Parts: sequence; C-alpha cells; structure tokens
Amino acid sequence: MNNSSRPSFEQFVLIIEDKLKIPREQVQPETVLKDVEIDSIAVIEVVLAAEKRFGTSISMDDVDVDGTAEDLYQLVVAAVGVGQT
Amino acid sequence: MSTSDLAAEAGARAMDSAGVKDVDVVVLATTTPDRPCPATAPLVAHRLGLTGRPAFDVSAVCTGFLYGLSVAAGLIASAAAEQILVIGAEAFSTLIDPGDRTTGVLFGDGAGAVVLRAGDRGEPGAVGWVELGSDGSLADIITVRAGGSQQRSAGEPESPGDCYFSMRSKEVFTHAVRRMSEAATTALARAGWRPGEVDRLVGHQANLRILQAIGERMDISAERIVVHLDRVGNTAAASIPLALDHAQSTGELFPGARVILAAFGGGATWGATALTWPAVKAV
Repeated sequence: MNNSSRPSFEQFVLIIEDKLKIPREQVQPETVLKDVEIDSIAVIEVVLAAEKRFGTSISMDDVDVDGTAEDLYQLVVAAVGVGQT
Repeated sequence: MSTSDLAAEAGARAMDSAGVKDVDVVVLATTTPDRPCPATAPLVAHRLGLTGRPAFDVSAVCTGFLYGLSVAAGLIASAAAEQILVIGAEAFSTLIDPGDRTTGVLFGDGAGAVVLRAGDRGEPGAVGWVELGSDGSLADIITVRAGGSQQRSAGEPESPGDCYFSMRSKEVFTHAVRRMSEAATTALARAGWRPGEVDRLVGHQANLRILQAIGERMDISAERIVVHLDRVGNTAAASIPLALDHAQSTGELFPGARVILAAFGGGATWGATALTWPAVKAV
C-alpha cells in the first residue's frame, strides 16, 4: 500500500462534515455513528462520497451504523489499500 | 383507477402534443398491468383507437420507461415503424401494504408518454444509445413475491405480505447511486458531453438523497437536477416521463437543452441515455 496516499482520519471526517453537515469536532474516532444521528442511509452516503473522494470502491457489507467513526474510517483505508496493491 | 386508465389518458395527450392521430406501435412500460394476463398495452391501444397496431408491455419496474424508449428507438431504426407511442404508467398504490410505513408514503400513481418518430440522428429529441443493464441476483431487493409462477409452481404457500411490494432500502440506495451514475457517465461519454455541459439530469424520482448523491458523483450541480418526487412521489415506470413533463412546464427543459435520463429499478435493472430536448407543444 502506498502510505503517502492513505486517507487521513481528518480527510475522512471532512467528508462527513461536508456531506452531512455534522461539525468535525463532533466526530472523534470513538464516536458511535448513530449517536451523532448518522443513520443507515447517511452512512451509505458517506461511503459513496468517500469512494469518489479517494477513487476506490468500498463494500457495504461491513458497514455498520452501530459502529464507530474509526470502524468506518478503517473500511475506507482498507479499500484504498486494496486498490493500490 | 387502473393502469390502462392512466396510460390511455397520457397516451392521448402525447399524441395530441405531437399532432398525430395514429402511431405504428404502442409500448407500455409498467409494473402494474391491469391483469397478470394479458398485457395491458393492447387494451390501451384499443382505447386510443389504435386497434390492430402491435402493442406490448415492457417490464423493468422503475427503469421501464428507458427500456421502452430503447426498444421503440430500435424498432424505428430497423424501419419496422415510423412512429411509436411510448408510455410509462403505474397504479403502484395497488401493490402497497397500507400498514407498511416504509413504502406506503413513498409511491404514487401516474402516467407519462411520448411519441417517438423517425428522424435524423442529429435532430433535437433524437434517441440514440440507451445504456441498459440488469442483475438478477438482486431480484429480492425490489419485489412482489406472490402472483407469479415461482410460488405457484413450487406449491409454496403465500405468506402474509407476499402480495405486497417490499424493498430493501439500504441496498436499493447503494445500487441505485452506483448504477445510475455509471450508466449516466457512459451515456455522457457516448454523447461526447462533459458533465458541465449537461443542462438537466432527469433521474428516476425515487429519493432526493439518491439524486443528490448521483449529482455529486457526476459533478452535476444540484440546481441542474430535476426534482418532481415531492409532488407525485415515486411513480416507478411513470417517473421519468412525468418528470420530463414537469420540467418542460416549468421551463427547466427548453429546446436545445442537453438532458441525461437515468434510472434504477427492480430486476435489478438500470439505464441511461443522453438527448437534446426538442420543442414540445404543451397540451
């Protein structure tokens, strides 16, 4: 994996802020997505936006609204990594 | 009010707008035929005074109108017909479980129609390449289980709710955004247009967030996305022709406008095409 293009957590949170209008300060790695009113459709919207932002395809199979921001971020990182091997 | 009622009215208005009293073929895109057998198109043709003309249904749920448009364009291109009435019509309320709030508030009944005629490739209104696709592995994400040969031939007892429409919203959302974006991007490339040159995206009117996500994915700004679902709901195969009529009436569509049509529906099916909007007589 090319670490220089690995998306940062900050870049990921910017997508959430831009897409869902949730201030970035409210989204920490341990933040449970549904606790900041990120519902199942909103999670999909974030993932789709991340696909475009980072030029990758992300499986929705492991997306879980009961998970944390860090969980979702790691799915994005993994997808970007697979795309670059 | 049945699908044939709606279809006949829309068909009559389209023929009036086109200034024609006859067509060679009637194509009806619908998920809600008057009966499982026969197709509804022959009845619609009969009611329009077109008895004897070939008439058939196209079944691709929310992508039905684009499938119908593609078939009609092919018939004209092969010189099998000169003028074809293409209708998208639904009485979707007849499929909805009144107790299911996840679907009951989303869908509407309606019909829209166009007359497609032979012409030159470069003319406004010319229907060229229509990008179409399907994935039968997704049959369960948009479905009505009962009433067909699958349950009957297997001797399966009908479960409560099988006769009603059901949808897996999250999966539909994901697939719709991806497939509509991909198909529309292909249609753009075929037309030789850049996203910035698109005047309007007329997408199947299922969900505003889907349309917005597609616009973002394709770099088509929100003000260039036609929104009609707030007025009529999701009307499945009637969705795109109704949205076209709405956009025409508000001036969002004007002669020469570059338009992308895109849809995703049960099957699963998807499709998209690019066309330049012609001058249309309002009726």
